[in-house]
Amino acid sequence: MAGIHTVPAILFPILAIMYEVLLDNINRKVTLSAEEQEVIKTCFVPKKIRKKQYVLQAGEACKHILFVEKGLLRTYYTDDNGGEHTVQFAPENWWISDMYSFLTNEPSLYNITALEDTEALMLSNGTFEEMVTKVPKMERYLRILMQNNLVALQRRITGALSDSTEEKYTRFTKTYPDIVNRVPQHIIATYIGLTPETLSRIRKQLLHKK
Amino acid sequence: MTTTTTIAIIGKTPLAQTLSGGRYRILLFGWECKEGELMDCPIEASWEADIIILAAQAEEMAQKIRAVAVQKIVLSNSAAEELQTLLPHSKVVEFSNLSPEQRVINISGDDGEALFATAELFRSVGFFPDIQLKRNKL
Repeated sequence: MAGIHTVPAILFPILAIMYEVLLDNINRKVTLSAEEQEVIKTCFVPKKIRKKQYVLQAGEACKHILFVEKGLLRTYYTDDNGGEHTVQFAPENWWISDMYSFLTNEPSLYNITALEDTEALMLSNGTFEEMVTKVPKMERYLRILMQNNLVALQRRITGALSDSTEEKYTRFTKTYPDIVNRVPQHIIATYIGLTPETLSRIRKQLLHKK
Repeated sequence: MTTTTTIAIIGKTPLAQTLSGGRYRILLFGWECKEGELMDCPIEASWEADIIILAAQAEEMAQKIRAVAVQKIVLSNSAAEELQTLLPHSKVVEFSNLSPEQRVINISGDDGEALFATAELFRSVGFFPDIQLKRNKL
């Protein structure tokens, strides 16, 4: 891999930290060489997203997978009556996308928006293929990521079908321990599938149990 | 509904007014106009942007924004080859000066997807892009 141009992160220390967070996340699953790490740095689009800004809107094809370094993103869809249903939150160190739309180029059902000012690294579908060709270890990393995602998805479906409302809220707090106080209650309610009033009641009940 | 494309314009150019006719969010560095939001740092503006337009001091600014311009389209009317050397991981597209009468704009570069996206950008505000792919990367 001779002749790789490196991204001069020294010019921009914040970005160096951002890549560190991403590479640390990847290196937990696969071990990348210094050269492979440099290749990966050249594949991601550094992007600052303001609170309430959209990175995907329903009806358009999802062109990116995003890694959140700082901030908080949310995937949701809107039903025919205008009700919002949250599918996923992505705080620091999480990945977020609409994988079906990303892989097929079909219009997405989902919106992805920032709940806080966010710093992300985005991988486009064109660069995705280029990256796994240059760094085949990334295929293994992404497979592990997909496996974990599938397991989480199955658990979420099972929970949605059979858990009590209390169990649903408890599962949410275990999945996202760091964001309970960062996300407005009415949005948490749309993740669990409850009304804000019911969620408030459950939170009070759980507080009394403690 | 489509996601709004953010365009950072570094330096003064009439393109800001032209592009404000489209559905774009425009961030400005180095000058003010009512069509865009003034930013106090070219790096911050470019970090938020999907597309960057280097309209002044292109080489000096390219050095500054290099780290946040990775994989982004960078438009300039300076020589694209030199800018591409300074921005090796960006998709540099050169454009000719605007001709409001003819509404034809020449765009050239070596990244087919970036040229296509740039052509769409200019078409969306009423221009007729004349595209030249310098080196076929597709």
